[in-house]
Amino acid sequence: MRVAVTVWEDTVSTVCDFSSRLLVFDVTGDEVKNRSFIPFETGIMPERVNQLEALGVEVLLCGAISRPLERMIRASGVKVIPCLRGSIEEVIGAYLDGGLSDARFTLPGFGPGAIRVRGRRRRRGGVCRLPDMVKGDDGGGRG
Amino acid sequence: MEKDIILDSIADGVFTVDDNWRITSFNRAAEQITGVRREDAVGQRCKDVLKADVCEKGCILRKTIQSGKSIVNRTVHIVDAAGRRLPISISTALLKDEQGRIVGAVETFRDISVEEKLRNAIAERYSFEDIISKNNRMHQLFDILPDVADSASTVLLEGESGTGKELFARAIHHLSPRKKQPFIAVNCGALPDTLLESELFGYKAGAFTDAKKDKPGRFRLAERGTLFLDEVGDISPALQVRLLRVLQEKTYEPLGSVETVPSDVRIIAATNRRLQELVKEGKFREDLYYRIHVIRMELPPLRDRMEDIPLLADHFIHHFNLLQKKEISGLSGEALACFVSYDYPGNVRELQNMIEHAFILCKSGLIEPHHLPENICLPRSMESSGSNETMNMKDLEAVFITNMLRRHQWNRLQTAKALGIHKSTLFRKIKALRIQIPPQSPAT
Repeated sequence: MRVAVTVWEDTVSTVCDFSSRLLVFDVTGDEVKNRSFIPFETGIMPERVNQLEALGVEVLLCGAISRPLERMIRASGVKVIPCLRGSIEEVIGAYLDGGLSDARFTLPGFGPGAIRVRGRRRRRGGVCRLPDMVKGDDGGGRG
Repeated sequence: MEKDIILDSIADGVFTVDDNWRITSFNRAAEQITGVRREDAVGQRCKDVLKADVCEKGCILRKTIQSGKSIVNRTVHIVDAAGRRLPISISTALLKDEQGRIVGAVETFRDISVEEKLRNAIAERYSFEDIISKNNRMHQLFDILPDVADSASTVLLEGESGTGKELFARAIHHLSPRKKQPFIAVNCGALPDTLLESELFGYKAGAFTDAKKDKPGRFRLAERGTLFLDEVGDISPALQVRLLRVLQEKTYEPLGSVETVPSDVRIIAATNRRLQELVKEGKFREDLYYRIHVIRMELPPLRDRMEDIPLLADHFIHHFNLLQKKEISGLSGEALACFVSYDYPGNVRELQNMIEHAFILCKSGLIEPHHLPENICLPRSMESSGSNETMNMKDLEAVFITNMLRRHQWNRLQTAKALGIHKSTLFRKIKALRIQIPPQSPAT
């Protein structure tokens, strides 16, 4: 299975929409193989989606993501695990261990409980589904 | 606590960071804009909370701390907790302790989505309400516009580039019973023939290589509405035949389809060429010409409605003031003299471009001649004097006469007639004002 992480320095990039670099790797059993850093298209949204498709990415681990981009990526058949933060190595490790639900991997504002955003309550399971809600349907977890 | 109450009373989002980029305070407006609760935000790195496009590429707070200088009203984009991309305007300042040492920074920000939307709406396209004129010929067109709109007939709009043919087409659509249906515009001159055919009529999957799925054409998209065919004089003879058939039979076949599709579309065609002359030259089918030429409206060039210049200039100044957040108050007398003596080969669009040009150079107050493109004023006085100096009446007269001469290809007899003065008076003024006439220009 091919997985991609949006990266900034040695951490998960905070916002997928603005990220300029990807780490792409293959997961075989417990092993991570063929790691490569590549530039992430910085143009319009469809270019980003096309690039992920062309790379054969099946799962995208990323930080915050705008609703339109997330929908487009999901529509292309890529599973999105959003709202992550932390060092790349720890996030990849947690992904393999099924431990991404740990609060330290969740961006502020996306944990349990939500606040009203200009009169509208942000839906739980909306843009940023908590990692434990996606674990299991991405097929990439070990546990 | 008192500090929090004060911060919460501010309408703008405010947060402060320590020297490790950790948030130390976060007000209520910041919660509302970002969707992140104060208790979730405090202690976190600011980039994880604000989620802005600049955080990883050129952190504004970092720049402020490094340079010691505040940054004011920088527009950036964030993604909020609901997954919306929002434009916000950010300002920053340093935080110092009693000894003057930098201990962090403060960032204030406000959501400018509404303003940005407004700007986009203004920039995107002019609406038919933007047709403004006090010219008689234009008013004659305005008078018949409701009747033209009310009929279902095909309309031919003729006029030079930039005279507002699309605005008129939109006006006809918006005044017509079809106003709630789509208005679709196609520039026939901008597309190669084969592409234009598939654009107009659409295609079925497999009609040609890369046609992987059905694509509706503009006729389909404009169904029950209006289709505006701009530069209709540029379409090929082969496509003219297909267009004629749609107009005659109200049906067409998408490329690669064997099925005939009925069409209920009103056609408004426009051209900057004389279609009748193209017919005479054999470049445009006569039968198609008469199908299109049911109602013909000719839009006058701007040089024939010079009385509209001040109105249009004010209109565009207002437009760019909104768009560029400036407060330009209008045209100076000298600038207006330049505007009214120019001949506008590019018509209203050129006038708009000139105002836009002036907005780049003019910071505030009145637009002066030195803010205008060089080709519209041939200011003899500007060559001899500094551009910031105000023109006197003599200079103004020289600019005016020079531009009138140029408008009449330096023909002095025609210029004198246009000015309503005797040719010898004009010759005397040319000499007295030391206006340079290009060599080999016709005197008469």
